[in-house]
Amino acid sequence: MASGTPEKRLFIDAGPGTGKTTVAAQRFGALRFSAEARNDHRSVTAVSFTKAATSNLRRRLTRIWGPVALGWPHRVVTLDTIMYDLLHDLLDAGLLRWPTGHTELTVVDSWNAFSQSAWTDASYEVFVESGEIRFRRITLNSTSRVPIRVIKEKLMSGICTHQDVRDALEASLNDSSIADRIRARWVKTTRALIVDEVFDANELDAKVIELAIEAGLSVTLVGDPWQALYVFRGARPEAIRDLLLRTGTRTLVLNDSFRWRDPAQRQLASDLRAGRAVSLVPSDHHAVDVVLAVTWKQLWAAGERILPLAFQSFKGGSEEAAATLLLNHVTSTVFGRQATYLTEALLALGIDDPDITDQVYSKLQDVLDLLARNDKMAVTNAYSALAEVIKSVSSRQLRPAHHAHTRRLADLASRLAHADKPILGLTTHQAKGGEWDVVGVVLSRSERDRLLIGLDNAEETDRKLYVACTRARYRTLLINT
Amino acid sequence: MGEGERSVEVEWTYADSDSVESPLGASMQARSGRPTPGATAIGWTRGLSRDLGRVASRLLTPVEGDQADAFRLVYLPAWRNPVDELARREARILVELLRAQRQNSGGGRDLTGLRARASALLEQLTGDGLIRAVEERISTHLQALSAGVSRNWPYVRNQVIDDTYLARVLELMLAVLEGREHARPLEVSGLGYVNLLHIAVILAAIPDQLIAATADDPAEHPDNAEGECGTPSAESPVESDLAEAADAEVRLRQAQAERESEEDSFFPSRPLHVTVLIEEPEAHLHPQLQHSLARYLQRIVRRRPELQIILSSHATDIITSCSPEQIIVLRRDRDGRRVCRGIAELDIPDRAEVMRKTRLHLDASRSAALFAERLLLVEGVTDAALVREFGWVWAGSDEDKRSFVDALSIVPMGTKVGSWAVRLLATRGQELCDRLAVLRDSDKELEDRPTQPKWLTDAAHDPRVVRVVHSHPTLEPSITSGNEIHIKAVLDILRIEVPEPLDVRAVHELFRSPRKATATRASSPAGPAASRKGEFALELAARLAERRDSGAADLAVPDHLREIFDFLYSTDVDETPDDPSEASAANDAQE
Repeated sequence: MASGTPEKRLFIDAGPGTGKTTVAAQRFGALRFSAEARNDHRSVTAVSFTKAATSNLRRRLTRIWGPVALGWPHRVVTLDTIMYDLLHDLLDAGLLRWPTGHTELTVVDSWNAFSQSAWTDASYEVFVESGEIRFRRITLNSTSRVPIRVIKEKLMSGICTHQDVRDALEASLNDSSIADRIRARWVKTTRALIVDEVFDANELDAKVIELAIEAGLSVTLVGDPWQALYVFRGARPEAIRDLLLRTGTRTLVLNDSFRWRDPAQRQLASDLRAGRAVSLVPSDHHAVDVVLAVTWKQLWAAGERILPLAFQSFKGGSEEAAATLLLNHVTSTVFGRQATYLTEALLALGIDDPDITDQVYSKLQDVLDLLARNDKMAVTNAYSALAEVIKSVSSRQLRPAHHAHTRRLADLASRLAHADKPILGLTTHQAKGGEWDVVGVVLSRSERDRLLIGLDNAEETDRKLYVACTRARYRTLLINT
Repeated sequence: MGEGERSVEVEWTYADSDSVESPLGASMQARSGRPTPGATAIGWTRGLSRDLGRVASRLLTPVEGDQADAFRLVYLPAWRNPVDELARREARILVELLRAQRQNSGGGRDLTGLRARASALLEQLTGDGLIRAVEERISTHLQALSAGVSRNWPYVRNQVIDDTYLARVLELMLAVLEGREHARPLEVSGLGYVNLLHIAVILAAIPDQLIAATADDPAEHPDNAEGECGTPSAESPVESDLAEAADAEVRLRQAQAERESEEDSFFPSRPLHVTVLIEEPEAHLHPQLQHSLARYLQRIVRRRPELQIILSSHATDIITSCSPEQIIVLRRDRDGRRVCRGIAELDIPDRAEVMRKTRLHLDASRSAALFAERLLLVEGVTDAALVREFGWVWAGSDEDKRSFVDALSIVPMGTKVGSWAVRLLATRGQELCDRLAVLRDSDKELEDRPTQPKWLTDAAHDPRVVRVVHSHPTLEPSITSGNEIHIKAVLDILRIEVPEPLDVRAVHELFRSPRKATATRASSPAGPAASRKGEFALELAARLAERRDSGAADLAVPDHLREIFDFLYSTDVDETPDDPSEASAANDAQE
């Protein structure tokens, strides 16, 4: 019903295991092939927030409706693509102007591809002054950044990041003529919009979605308020809640979950969602398929059998990137899974050949062998060997061995030393969308207390706990630490 | 295919004004956010390669925004067999037709309704007692055979009715009299009309998007209440929930059916551009039908901006039904390179005037000039008849030369050959032919020397391509020397008094046109036989033909005509060929 209804403003509340992506794909097809729209040649557009999510949705869509569903002009894109489309249109219409008059921009994911980062407090911000897009230098806390002169040169040749596009749009949306143009653009090009994982939307996303609703498009929002995890990236779940109320959007709840294979797990999930107190069964970690925690740090601390897919959330340093390359070597071999931040690490090392991991395979194996010796100098020796490997494929240089740079290798060495097969460790963010038979969770004291009180989906920590506890098909166990 | 890489570049431009823009162009411009009439919208390159004796093509450049799908080519090759294509069982063309009709009436492309009717008809048939009885008899046997393990039941029932089934049971027929009872299978219908039917069916199967956009099919969607989801207050919440869920289910199923028919169809329901390429549309057609076909196609293209029709033809009647600007001439140049020249794009002197004259004068006989590599332009039909007779004498017993004269295009222009035809056919660098000779009267006093027309400059026309030769002062006197006996014989037949002596001057005096006085000379009256010039030429041609058949070749070929034939027949391409392959390439071009 959620996918077939002719409702024009629809929110599909899709809990864990309810087949959210399938419903979104079904809905897309139903709108795409709807009889009323036969002669309406505007696009049906589905958006999601990450490239992985869009290609996942695209795959599902093609499987259900065939490739014809995605024939021009219908599409599945990231919100970043939408944002650039809108900015391009505004530049083209002359409502906004790029400093150099460009109307076509080249949008990159990050500046890191252009230059090595340096420790600096010099950064920049985007502002808009009577239709002119401008940049100004600002001083922030010192961290590893791409030098401002590199960025300036690129900006002046019409290259910018997705963040710049968003900043420019955000700074100009209060202008009513720009909002009018965006609404008009929606009406002209699009008849239906489907937003997947809508609770990952930030302020700007929410505004642009609202403009689409105001423009009279058929708008379907799909998501789970309990699984909004991206507040740290600027997601504003409460903005979406307000938007739903303000626009009078109808809610359909998907009740049937296909995930739970065990009554206890089903009960756990419904207790959590109802805000009832729960306590998890404690266990050792040998019986679980995966271990989840809110942070990477908790996972590294939780026991030497647990091998997390990242050291920490990626900061951008070359030493961290090198260690990530090595970690990726291990996780690919052991789990068949890439290290979470492999892409970011390659970017930070200025490597654009995606096959590089295969090319340095045997060299990395040598580094691991050094590390596995477990003698006094093992970590330092491995670090130097790793620095040599990096030197052969990247222009970036690793700094001399120092505890701050080598400790990641030390952590990895402790995992290599363990006799049993490692257990996959993931943060709740990385686990979102996944499911396993038996899931172990690592909880801090305060997190355990939250479960004992009962969760509230307005609290971010509670949402993370909810996600962690709803990944299992059969059992969710508390890992003793 | 030849050697090396081959590719085709395609470019598609928006219409020059919104009023004639196709739905595809309109929607693409809407998407780009800015109307840009006349601009190039999209372009791509297709590479051609060999593929087991056929030519395979593949896209070399990515087409922006997945647009390749919007451009469809319908190709009716010269070797098409309309009877086969239209009458073959399971031909999808009929299904496409039905779908297009459905779409034109606003009903999508789904043929569920028609299939249901066919199904009901067959269901009735299978209810017949005879069929029932047969089922029962088989059943008894099958029971005995299968029940030991797992009993099965036999049925004689209707086949699964899908779209191809419709194509299987329906057939296109043609009738020369109105009335369904007169319809006859295509195998026994006139070939020309079957060819026309084929073209008509192809055109009909392309959904007309302008019609579809305005049509409404109320029968198809009884619930037009899109966007409204109000629940009738009388129902209980549970009932309305159920009703809504059922409605949503119906919509999903409908969308599924829509998808299937769309995936199945040659033409997508989205805005599109269709290029129909018809080779030799004139096949088996009466000349009048050729004219009307070409004109009708032009009309249809004007009405349906999403259609583009390309004809390839050798038929003068097709050519004359088109305006010169629509014509593109495909040929090989002197170096053997394939060239393709749009008459609309020719860069020639006095263009506007040449185009005006071309539009006026390019009729069926003159348009033959567009198909000839070597040709001769003459003033009138009588010149044409006589010149070919002299050609055969020029050829003598040389078989190659004889066939050359047999095939030579001699195009009578009806008046003195002016500059426009030469400009059109043989402007330097824009040639539409290999060699062009012009035979015209000098119309000067006998004592004067003929002079070349002012427009014939080496800058405008390559002397290797164009030669203007004069009959001085007109045709009759210029062929007199050495042919006095024939002229005397013809004058006798026509009962025209034979002048004495019978020489060039006498023949000139006999046939000359009257002249008004000018500053330098007095007026002169018409010659006594001036009004019988045509008769004379025809009679002379007839006499020469008769003598040719009897093998009495006693005709003298005048020098200026000999010059024309030598020039046109000549195979030496260049004094100093810089490429040894040129000579053979030029020979190729003749083929």
